[in-house]
Amino acid sequence: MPDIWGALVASWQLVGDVLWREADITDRLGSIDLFWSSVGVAALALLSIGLGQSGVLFLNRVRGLRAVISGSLALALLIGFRLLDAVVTWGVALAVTRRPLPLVTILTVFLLSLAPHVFNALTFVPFVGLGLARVLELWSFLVLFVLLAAAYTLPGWLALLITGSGWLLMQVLARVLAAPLGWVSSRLWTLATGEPMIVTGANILTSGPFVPVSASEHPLPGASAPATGERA
Amino acid sequence: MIGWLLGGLVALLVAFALLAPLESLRWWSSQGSVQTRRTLALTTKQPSTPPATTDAPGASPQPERYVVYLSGIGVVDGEGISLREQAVWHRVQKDLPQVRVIAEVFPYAANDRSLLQRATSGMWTWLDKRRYRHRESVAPYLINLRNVLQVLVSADPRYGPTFNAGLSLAIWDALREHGYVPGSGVPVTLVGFSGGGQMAVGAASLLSLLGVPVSAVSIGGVFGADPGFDHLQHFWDIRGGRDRLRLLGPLVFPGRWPFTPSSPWHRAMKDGRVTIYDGGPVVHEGRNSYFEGRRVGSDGVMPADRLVGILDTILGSPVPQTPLPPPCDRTPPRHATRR
Repeated sequence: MPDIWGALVASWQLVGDVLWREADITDRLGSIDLFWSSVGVAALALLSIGLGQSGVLFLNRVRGLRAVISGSLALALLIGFRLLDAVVTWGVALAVTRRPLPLVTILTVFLLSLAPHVFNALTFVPFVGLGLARVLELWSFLVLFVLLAAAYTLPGWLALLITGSGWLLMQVLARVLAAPLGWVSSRLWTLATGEPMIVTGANILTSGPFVPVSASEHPLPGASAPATGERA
Repeated sequence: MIGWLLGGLVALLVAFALLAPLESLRWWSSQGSVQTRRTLALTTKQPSTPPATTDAPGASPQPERYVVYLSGIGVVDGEGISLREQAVWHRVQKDLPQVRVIAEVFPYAANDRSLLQRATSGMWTWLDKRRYRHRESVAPYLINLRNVLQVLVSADPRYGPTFNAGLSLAIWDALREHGYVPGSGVPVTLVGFSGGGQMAVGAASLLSLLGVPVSAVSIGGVFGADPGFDHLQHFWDIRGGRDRLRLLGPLVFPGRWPFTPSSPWHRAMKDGRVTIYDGGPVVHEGRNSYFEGRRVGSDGVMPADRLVGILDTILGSPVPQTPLPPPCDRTPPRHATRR
């Protein structure tokens, strides 16, 4: 019987080690133990993200099947974008260093870089939370940069270049993919709920649950032609 | 021990902050969105009516302007403004009989429910009384904290639209109760003191969509670069020379920073829709503040007299219309610097 509580505690300790560099974990990169602990770290981060987002769904009276769909879709998109981020940055690192790292090592690095997001639930604090979200992203970037430099034994400037290039490519890709992903998500929502729904590119880029707009026609006040977009 | 106490206080503060947006979000999901759409639809269906005149038979005269006052973060209900504030507004109303002043809207709730109209009204009443009887007590600052968090909710682009819609509807209801005729084109000026500055700007968007020609005055206001600035016909900012608290606005809100030239605030400045007034050597609140009516300031002028004079000038003159007339036709009032 796996020790879930022990795993959670160990993951939380690892979060502290990663964030405040209390222990040098770089010599353990590549070990299976650290990999599984980093999965725990990612799980804590996703839990924190999910906690706040589920509150938004609840307050918008999105319950039952729609809540499950919205939450699952948001989770899938979040994990998908993070995986894509990992693949893109790994690709840039491979192109620059010509050294393929073991999959376990690279996955461990990217999972551990999610450690700052255990505080993600706090981004729901009004106004201050917006700044905190930026801080967490920057912190996550710095953790990735430090661990990548250690994993590839790179000088700092090169690690920063690789991490920065990966981030930039990811921003471009996310915007390119947002529209087609929105189309696919709209089809999924429509199939699941039986009502025509619209998921926009902006919804996709929020990396969180959203309440799609119904694709029914609703005359806007003062408009002569009906317009789409009525809050579901 | 101290560490635990401090940690507990921080945790309590964070919990308070996390709960702050829930009220407006809950209001929006339960009734707010329907109420907003209904009000918009009703307003756009009604034909535009010209202002009623006293000569027309059976017509109820409308004032030339409505003024809605939104007080600072220390209030517990819309009608609980301080005696100093009441004195200033009585004088303004007396000086400008053609203007109707409304000072009963509680600005720190999306559903116009004051702190005294809730299940927790007992606690808020006790805190409100305590701050007058025990001025050194820290507990009553819980009122300020609660209301400051609502100011942050209003300024947050995620929660602000729903909160500000609720406040706009509360102001709209108050206007209707005081005889405002939809579509009449009678201008409405929102006057916000301190945190009320942000609330005034935030409420401007929906009011403008309801067909109200809206402008705003800030008295030592703390406000961000709210999209409401794009809906204000004009904005007057009265700044006290010794008021440090109002500096939180340009410090904390990125849209007010000099290197965000495309923000609604900077656009309003560039369009010439912002007028800055020197409020004199006054502090933010309490003695020697904007509303001080018992002691003259260090410049020999009673702060309340100066404030009444500025408000009379602003509210007694027609609202500058956009597009603005050429600069040579404008006559800047006293204490004013047009930016």
